[in-house]
Amino acid sequence: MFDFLFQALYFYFERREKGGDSVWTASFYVALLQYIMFCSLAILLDIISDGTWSVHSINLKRNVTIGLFLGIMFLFYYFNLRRYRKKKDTIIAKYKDHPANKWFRGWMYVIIMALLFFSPILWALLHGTLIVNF
Amino acid sequence: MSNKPNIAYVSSLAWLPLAEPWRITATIAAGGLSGGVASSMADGDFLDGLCNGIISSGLNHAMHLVVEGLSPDDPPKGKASSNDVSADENNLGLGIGFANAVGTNGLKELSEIWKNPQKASRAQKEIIQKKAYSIQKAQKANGVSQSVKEIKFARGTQIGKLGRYGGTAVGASVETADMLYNREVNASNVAGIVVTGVAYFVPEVGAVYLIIDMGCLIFTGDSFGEHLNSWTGKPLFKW
Repeated sequence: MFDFLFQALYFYFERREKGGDSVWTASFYVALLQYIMFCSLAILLDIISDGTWSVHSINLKRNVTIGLFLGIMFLFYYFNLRRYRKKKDTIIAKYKDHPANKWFRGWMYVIIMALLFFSPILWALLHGTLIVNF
Repeated sequence: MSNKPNIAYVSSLAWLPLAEPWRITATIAAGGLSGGVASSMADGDFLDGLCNGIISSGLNHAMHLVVEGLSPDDPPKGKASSNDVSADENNLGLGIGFANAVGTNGLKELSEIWKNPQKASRAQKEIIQKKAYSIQKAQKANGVSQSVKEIKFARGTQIGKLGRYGGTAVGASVETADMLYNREVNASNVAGIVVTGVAYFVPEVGAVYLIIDMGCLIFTGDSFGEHLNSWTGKPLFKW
């Protein structure tokens, strides 16, 4: 899934960024998506376990928690960049004639990211576990 | 939250370490000056009044230090007070502002200099030229041929991207970590995410946000994010 997304984003930015290294950009967007997925899972786990498996329960200081998440974000980017710089040509060749290329557009990426992030909250809202104060 | 400048908080910021000593000095000096003026008005000696004023305002300050230090309302050591939480919130906003402003704008400037060295100073031009030649040499050794101009443009683009990605990564991870830590989504979190997203495309927005945030912090004692949270009153979502 991520490989397909990478090549779709790669071609999207290749058209838009003339003279730029699109591997960097596409890798960054894939890493951002993975990070958002990671956060969504953390929120979902927190809601399902009723706070037992929450970030708060680890008992770290707030600044340390933020530093930890920053580190996770950069790790995602580092590993994606390393992987896609090496395997760019193989991945592009693999997904060149993929049927999803016909309908996938760049703006869909933003929708996927927003849906991913808000899905645990929506899920909790539907199950009545969320306290909406607003 | 008060509307007057919270100098005590501002003085705790690293870049304004002298604000608190200056405030104390100004208070005592003002006490001395008013003593001297009052003495003159009553046909007395200005210097005598000044000395009396300085002594009484100095002692008054010392008394406040002792009394406030022994106040039962003081939180026990090691336990965060509400001021600490507010300071955390303020630092968080400033952190995002700095990441966006420095990451995106600062590196954007550097990126432009690499792409178009005519804008650079003589020393900068020399460094860029030297670096570009060394990259070209390394590329030739690996069998890649690229002109110096192309190398400069590619390096400039990479620097610019690094700034934009860095600012976005910091903004996104700080806000998500904060939400997960507090188990709630605040108005300040939403503002932070929006600013981070917009700053990716328009880097100047990050700098404007930082200026607004710092302005609010200096003149009101609370950051822009804190004001937003106070305005909404409650978190937007809580789980």
